[in-house]
Amino acid sequence: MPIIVNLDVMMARRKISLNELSERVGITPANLSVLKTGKAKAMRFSTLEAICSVLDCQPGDLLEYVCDENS
Amino acid sequence: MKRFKVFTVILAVTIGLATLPGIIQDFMFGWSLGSSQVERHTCDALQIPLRADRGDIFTTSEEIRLNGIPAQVSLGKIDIAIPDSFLAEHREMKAVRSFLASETAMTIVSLVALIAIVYIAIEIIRVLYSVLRTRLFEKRNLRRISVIGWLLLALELSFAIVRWWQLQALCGFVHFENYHVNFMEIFNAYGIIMAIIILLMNELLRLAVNMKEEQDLTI
Repeated sequence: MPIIVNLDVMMARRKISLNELSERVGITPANLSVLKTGKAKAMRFSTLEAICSVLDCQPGDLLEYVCDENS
Repeated sequence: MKRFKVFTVILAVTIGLATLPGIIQDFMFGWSLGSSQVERHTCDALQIPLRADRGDIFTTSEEIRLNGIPAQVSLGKIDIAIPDSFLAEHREMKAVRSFLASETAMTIVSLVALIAIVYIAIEIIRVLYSVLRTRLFEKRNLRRISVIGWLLLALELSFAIVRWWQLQALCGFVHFENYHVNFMEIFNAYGIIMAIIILLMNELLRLAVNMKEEQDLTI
């Protein structure tokens, strides 16, 4: 998928663990892991809002579009 | 889920009522035949779909002999009993040899069908069990239902082909005056329709599985 989730980069910058982020955002570590590894097919605005709020960043810092030549 | 359980019970009872009496009757018939002391003449019993060439014939049930072979004609079909002695006497005829080969093919297809029916029954129970555990929308269920559908379709088509071969060979040494064999009736249309409905339902289930997968991966 040409949309890359840079959640791990932002987590490293903010020095926050997966468990701590999941607790503060209010979603399970398993779901957060799905998001982090790029397996997620969609993301709710409410989840994006909660993550941006906790990590103090913009949606553009988390999501990146990379042109996929094959598609 | 309660409605599902009710329909499952109704399905099981219907299958039981539809199949068990036939199995018991056949078993009892075989038992009485085996225990009787009379001299037995084995024969191939066939039911042949016929169509009358004229409208004024073929209205009553009557016993006839076709080339010396006993047959019972009734509306729309003929029950014919070909004695093994007849087949042994005319073994050099090409049509008889073809008929005997088709009989062997029919036995093989019937055996395969028996195994396939047991397999299909096990797969249906597995699918029903997964529904009870609310795990219907899984890819392995798609695979199971797809196998059931294709297997049913293959069985029905195999039976139709072998039956066509059998009747074609039979027409080579038995001549039906005033009638002709209705080859369209060799297809079990209900079986084929059921197989196609199962495959269609499987495609609907595939859409549902994809939607569920997408829903599960929406964070």
